[in-house]
Amino acid sequence: MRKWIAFITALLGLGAIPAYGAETYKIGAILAMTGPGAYYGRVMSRGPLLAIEEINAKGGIDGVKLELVIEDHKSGQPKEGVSAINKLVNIDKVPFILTSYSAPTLAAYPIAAEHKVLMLNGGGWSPDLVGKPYLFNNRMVGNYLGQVIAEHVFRKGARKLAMIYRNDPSGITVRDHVRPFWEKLGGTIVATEVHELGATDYAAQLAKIKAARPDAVATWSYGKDLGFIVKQARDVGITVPLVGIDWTPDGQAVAGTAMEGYEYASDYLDPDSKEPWTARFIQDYKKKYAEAPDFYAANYYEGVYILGELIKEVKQKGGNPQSGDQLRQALLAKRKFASVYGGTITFNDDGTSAKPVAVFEVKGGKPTVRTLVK
Amino acid sequence: MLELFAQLTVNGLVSGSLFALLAISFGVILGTTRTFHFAHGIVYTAAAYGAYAFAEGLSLPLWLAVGLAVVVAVLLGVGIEVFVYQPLRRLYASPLTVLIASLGVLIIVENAIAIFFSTDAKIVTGFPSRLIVLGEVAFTTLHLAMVLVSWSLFFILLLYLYRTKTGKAMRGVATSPEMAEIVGIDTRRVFVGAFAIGSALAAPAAILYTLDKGATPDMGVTAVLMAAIAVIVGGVGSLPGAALGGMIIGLARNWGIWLLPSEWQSAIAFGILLLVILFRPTGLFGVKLRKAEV
Amino acid sequence: MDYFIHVAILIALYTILSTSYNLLIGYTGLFSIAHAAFYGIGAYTSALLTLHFGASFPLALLGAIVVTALVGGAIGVPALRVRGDYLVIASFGFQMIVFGVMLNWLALTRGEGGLAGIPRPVLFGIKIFSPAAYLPLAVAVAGICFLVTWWVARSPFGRVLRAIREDEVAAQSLGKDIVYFKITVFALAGGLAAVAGSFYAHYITFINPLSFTLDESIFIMAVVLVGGAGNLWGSLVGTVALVVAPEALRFLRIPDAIAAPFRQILYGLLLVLFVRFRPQGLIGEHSATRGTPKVPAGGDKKVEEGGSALGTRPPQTAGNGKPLLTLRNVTKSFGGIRALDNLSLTLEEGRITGLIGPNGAGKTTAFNLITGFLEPDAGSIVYRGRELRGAKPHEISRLGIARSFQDLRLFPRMTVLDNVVVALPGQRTEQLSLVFFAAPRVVSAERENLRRAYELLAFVGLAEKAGELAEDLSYPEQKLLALARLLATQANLLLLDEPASGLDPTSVEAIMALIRRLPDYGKTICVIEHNLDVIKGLADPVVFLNEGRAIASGAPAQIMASPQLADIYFGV
Repeated sequence: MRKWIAFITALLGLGAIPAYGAETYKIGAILAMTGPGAYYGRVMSRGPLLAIEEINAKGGIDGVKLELVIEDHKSGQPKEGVSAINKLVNIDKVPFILTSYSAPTLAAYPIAAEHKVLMLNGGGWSPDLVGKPYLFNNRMVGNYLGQVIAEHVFRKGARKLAMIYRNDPSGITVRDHVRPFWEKLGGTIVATEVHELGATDYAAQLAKIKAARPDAVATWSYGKDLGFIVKQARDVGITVPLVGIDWTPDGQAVAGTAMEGYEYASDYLDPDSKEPWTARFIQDYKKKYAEAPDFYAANYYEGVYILGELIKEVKQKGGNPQSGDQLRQALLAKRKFASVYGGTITFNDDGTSAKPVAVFEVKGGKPTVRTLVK
Repeated sequence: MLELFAQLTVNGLVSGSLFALLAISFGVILGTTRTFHFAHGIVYTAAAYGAYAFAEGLSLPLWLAVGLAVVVAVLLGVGIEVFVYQPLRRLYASPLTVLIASLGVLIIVENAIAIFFSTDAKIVTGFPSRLIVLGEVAFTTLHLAMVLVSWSLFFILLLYLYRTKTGKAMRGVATSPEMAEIVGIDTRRVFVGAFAIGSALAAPAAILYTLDKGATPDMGVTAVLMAAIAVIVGGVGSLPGAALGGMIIGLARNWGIWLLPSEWQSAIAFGILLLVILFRPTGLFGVKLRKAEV
Repeated sequence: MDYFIHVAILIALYTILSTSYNLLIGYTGLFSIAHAAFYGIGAYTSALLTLHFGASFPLALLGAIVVTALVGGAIGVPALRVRGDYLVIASFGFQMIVFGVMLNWLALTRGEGGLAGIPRPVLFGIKIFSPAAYLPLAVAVAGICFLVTWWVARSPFGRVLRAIREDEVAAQSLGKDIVYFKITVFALAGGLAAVAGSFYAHYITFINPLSFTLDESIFIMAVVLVGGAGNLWGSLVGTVALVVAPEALRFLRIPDAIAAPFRQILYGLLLVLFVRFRPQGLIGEHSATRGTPKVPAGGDKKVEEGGSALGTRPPQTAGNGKPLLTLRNVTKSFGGIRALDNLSLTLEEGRITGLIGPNGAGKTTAFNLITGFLEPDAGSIVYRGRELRGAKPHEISRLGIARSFQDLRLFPRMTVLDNVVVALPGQRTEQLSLVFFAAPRVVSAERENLRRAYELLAFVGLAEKAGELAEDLSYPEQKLLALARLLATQANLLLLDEPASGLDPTSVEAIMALIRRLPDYGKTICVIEHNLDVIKGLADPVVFLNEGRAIASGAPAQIMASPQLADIYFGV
């Protein structure tokens, strides 16, 4: 009974606070806080929290402090995404949401569009995330990364490629993009295997891949899945190069020494960067969380700063920074923002962005840059 | 495509051995106590996480962590029998009621583990695993260990049941609890013993699997399902049948994907189950599933 | 506001799911754990029909119902072959396979990516867009489903479901074709779940397999168990409780990382605690308004005992001697044991034949064979010129043969009255189609059935106990109820298995008095008894069975005077 009263009071109370001129500026986030992808929720929330801490320490944005409200889509459930955005939009009344994963984002998007809330995605890869007016991505689309690494391994001499990919839009789109690309280069695809997110048993797929005798094996997977795939590939006797488009310390821990020599293309967050903002970000993150940040953390960290810029722009023009619509206009007007990766990030009309990309190789358990692209 | 078939066969023999071990661990409990111990899945998971916690969390040597994990499993399994099933049996609860309680326990402990350890896969290191390549086929020393351990435990279990006094008592209770009571066997003690043994057998299966492929909180649900299917395929009441059922499932899952796309692998076991239920409900060696007893 | 509406819509959806699941698990006792699979099949079917074929929402909804009902019925088939525990595993398997198909048949379902942009419903030219517009539709749909489920549960069809839950074997012996009922209830539950699925798809406009997992099935089970299995209002209460609570949890500041598993723990705890301490749920099956049911019109004056309820055949003069049932050289073995060895015996019309013999002589086995629960290895069983071998128990019952059980096999959690009503034959309104399309006939037939049931209860002297649960009766009363239920079948050949066992002398007298009257109503009786006084007082002729053979038959005085038979009987 008491819970009900508290619930209703909270609802009424929150509804009564005027949006404009509130004490804190609320930002929403819909992340994978639980489920097999909990790693991503963890790092994707740490980035913004660090950014907000830094901004608030300096007095906030024009004196208004930021606050992050995190909701959980349970590693990609669309129903949860809808529940989450309903709460963020109706109760917390956020004008800006950091989102992740393709499926819940796609489910939540119509509601965002309806309420004119601006969404920024720093994690999902799906092509469906492109071309939506209220959705922008500061994550490199998977297709492009797949292309980069495919070209890289082709240049090293591989002609027969085997692919194993995650069974969701992000994995499927890379598969569909790389196959014609590879064939146009002059190679052949000898095996294509699929797996579920969070699976730990790849014996079946890898047995088939091994029997197809590829020159290289490409994995369009990420996180710990990648780690298991790499380890089990070596365990079943696959000796050819392994490549992909992701790497996390999680996956490294699982694969251990099997990961040596693995190469991947990714958003280029140089851990040894001399760029001032990058270095400071990495240092502060390490100090606060006792581990080095990956580019996911960086994307979401950067996302908050981008929002900061948008708020300032809107206020300068005398507008209402709590309006998602106006934030969006500001983004389309400004386009270019300082990037924590070094240099700048530029947003396109269709919601994609251009960022530095590199091919990394895992040596001694850590990624090192092999070549920079673009 | 013969190399693929050979590799798949090896994979099938290895995973089949683990399934066999799982099946007999479940079958001992089902056969002796007639309890459909769904929560066996969580005993399995607890053993895996126990090994993880002791080996990685407390940095104990692997052999010690394994031993402690077995203890954890046995305590949990016996605890469930004593605190959940026994009270329900005293109330003459229907088998369905016991099943729901078992499911509830499974859910509770599984999610408690998820909260405490989080849901991403956990790995346990420390097993000196080396690659063995025989022609076109490759496997690791860990896989070899799986086969050896599973079948050794199987034979030890059979020895126990047929050569020791307590083992024979257990078989007696399995055949007829009423008769056993009359002859003076303490069925309550035997029940606890069955749970202890079943849980102790599930632990090595869990730990070996974890050493190879990591542990996730939901690993137990799949495990207990596979065990149940294996027992049904082999025939309830027959331990060799259960072990054989486990091998059949392991091999079928692998041979099946020789022809089918790999994503259908998990459906294969359930397909076999449906076939068995439709055409031979008693399984290969089992006692008739009591359908209509008048 | 939108948020509240969203929660209300969820409640409507889950009410449909929980009430349909309640039919399956609460009313029929079919423990399936695959309800989310039905939910998902309904959702995907509806979505695909609108996305690929441009179907309108009502058409897509209909399509979803039909497809899922067919699948549901198909699942009923393996359900028939296995006992309760194993049905769980089979349904688990089904759930996993369906999930696997949703995940892997990429061409159809787009796998984990799911189906996006599912068209919103357009009703009477209006496109339903905002949550506020969905709400009335959701409530209407849920209301209709609830009514349907409630009507089914209250109907004779529903009564048989409960009888099946209580004791499948007894239900069969009363002439119920449990194959029909189980398949139909599965189809019905599936079809209703599909309604929820279709609505869900067109509401969220995005579906993927993750909404239809095992966890979802477990949630639905928790709702039904907490609310009260066997009571539809309970499912409504349970739905509200379990849907609102997690949404409220969002405000409780539980760290996000553990909110979801925390919720699951709550569901698990609810399952265990309720099953242990309150198995009937929040609103039990027989709570509140249960009591003595209304005595039907004209029933408050002293009910004429027996009368038309006992059958329409005019009383015959006792012992006209025509053979009604003949067993010829019937043999049955179990493993190495020969239970019946060339047994031949005849039951004459209008007489009470006694069947006696030491334990293990094969008496109950003979009954089992006659009533179709077992099949003879050899020999023939002929009833009114018709061979009974191979006939199913419910078919034999409909021919006019009924039996009672040594262990009674009443329907414990049904009322005394219902125990009798369910046994009345010719209830065409047990057909589901009639329940819907001939509703007025159902209502009037019910009234007639209740009247006849009352007459029978009066005949055995249990009329005042009509509203009590069968399990609450004393043992002698239960035996009387078993007799009343048997008589309700209108069978002409009654096989009574130890009707007087375990009773005190007064009760034995009472039962004997009742049985003695039955031939006056045209009944032929065969009685198995160990109490020789009962046999002496009732039966003529008496057949003595030993080791599966009839070794003597004749008048009771004769049989009991024989010293050799006495030796065998008392096992010297």
